[in-house]
Amino acid sequence: MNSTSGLLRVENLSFAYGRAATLSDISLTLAAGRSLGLVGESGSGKTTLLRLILGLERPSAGRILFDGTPVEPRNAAAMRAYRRNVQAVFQDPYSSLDPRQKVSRIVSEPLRALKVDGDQAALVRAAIADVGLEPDILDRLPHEFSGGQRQRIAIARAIVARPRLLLADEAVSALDLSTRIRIIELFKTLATRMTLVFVSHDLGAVAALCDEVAILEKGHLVEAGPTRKILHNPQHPYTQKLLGSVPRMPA
Amino acid sequence: MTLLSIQNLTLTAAGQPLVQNLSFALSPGERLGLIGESGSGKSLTALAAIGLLPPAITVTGSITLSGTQVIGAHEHTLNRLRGTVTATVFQEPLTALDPLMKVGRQVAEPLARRARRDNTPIDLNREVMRLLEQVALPEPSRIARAYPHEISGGQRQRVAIAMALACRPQLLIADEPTTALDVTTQAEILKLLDSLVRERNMALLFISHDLPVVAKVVDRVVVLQRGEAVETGPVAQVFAAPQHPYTQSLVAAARAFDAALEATP
Repeated sequence: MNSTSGLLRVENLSFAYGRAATLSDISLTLAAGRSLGLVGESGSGKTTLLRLILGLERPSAGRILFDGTPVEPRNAAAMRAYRRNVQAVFQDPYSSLDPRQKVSRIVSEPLRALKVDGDQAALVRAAIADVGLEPDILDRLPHEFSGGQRQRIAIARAIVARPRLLLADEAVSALDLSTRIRIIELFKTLATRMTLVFVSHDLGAVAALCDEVAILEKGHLVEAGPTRKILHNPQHPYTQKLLGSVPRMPA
Repeated sequence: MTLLSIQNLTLTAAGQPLVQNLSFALSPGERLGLIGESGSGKSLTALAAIGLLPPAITVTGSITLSGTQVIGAHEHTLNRLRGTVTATVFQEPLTALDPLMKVGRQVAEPLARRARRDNTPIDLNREVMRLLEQVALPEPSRIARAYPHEISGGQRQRVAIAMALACRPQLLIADEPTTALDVTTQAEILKLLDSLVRERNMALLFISHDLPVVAKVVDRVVVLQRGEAVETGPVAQVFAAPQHPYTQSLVAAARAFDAALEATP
């Protein structure tokens, strides 16, 4: 891996639905092992950018490179290999888990889909331990778990095949405050051994978790850099407005 | 006189207690926050206060609105209370508004009802415009002609607030009114709610899981955990020196996010 070029590179990326541009000329580089928060409000294009990184959409212009290789959504064989390296966690832990399947089958699904060799049961047990759950949950069904536990199960599924890049789309937004802070701690631990892209509307969550931040407004990247630097001294008026709108506790 | 008085309220569904022995009161002009996480019973308490609980929930205790008992009250009595005494703004304005009716007509409905109630004829169109202006909607005449899907989420919530104000209630109940909104829109709506409530000297029952949001608009809070009030007091005092371990954990979590935002490079 060439670390100077970044594990993930987004080069002059644009995306349009019909005539409406939802992303305009986005460029970003994320080094291996770093965590990036993609922040924006509704309509900013943050989820579209995540879908493009996942290879679920094809860009209208520009490209995405993973470890120096362009992501080609139309190349099925290349996408299978890519999927092994890049996994995602989504917002709603209630709709993202199949209610009829036991946790063991849910978590091992990527291993079957990606035809991962080796001791699959051991990988599943390791993933479950990594997200702070006990092995006895494997025989149970999703409805037996709280929102936070379900999100842990979804994260276990995402990391079971040992991806290098983990993508999280509003993965803590539906959780209660006390649960949210614990799941952020979990992501923080995971981010020490994989690269993380964390899409969120919540600047506080991104501030607590991510090394770097990219601020999107209406499909444009308005500001990007180290999280603390940008939150301490935001340059773009939109970043300033966003930061100023976050309600704070009374002093 | 007390505007809203809740005494020993207990809500039960299928033998499970959802709210237990809850008591609090709200005087005219007072602003109270009901804080809790999912399953704390905060929204059920709001629904109970306006007599809108689903029939499967058993209610005991007492709820009075402006002196009238709500529990077991006839629908006719409740309808009179909703509007004159209270109005409610919910989380999702898209479900609160009729998708097939233009915004202006929806706002006109409670205005017309108030006019009939007070037996004073009003110029409906002018009153609609006036209300839409009061909630700071841009181009009120264009918004009045639009359907709910043609305006933004923040504009829809402003319309829902306008409808709540149309009846000139003494108590505004707001259940997570900014949770579905973007953070910049949330800031605008909170400012609007705050100024409207103060200008009209309305009482406010503000329900939210979000501590800093609550702190912006209320004077006093009740913290609910699994249906029980664990702490109550002035918002500044409760957030500065929380007494109950649950409140302490919520305040610590909220302050952790603030600290992360304030961290220096």
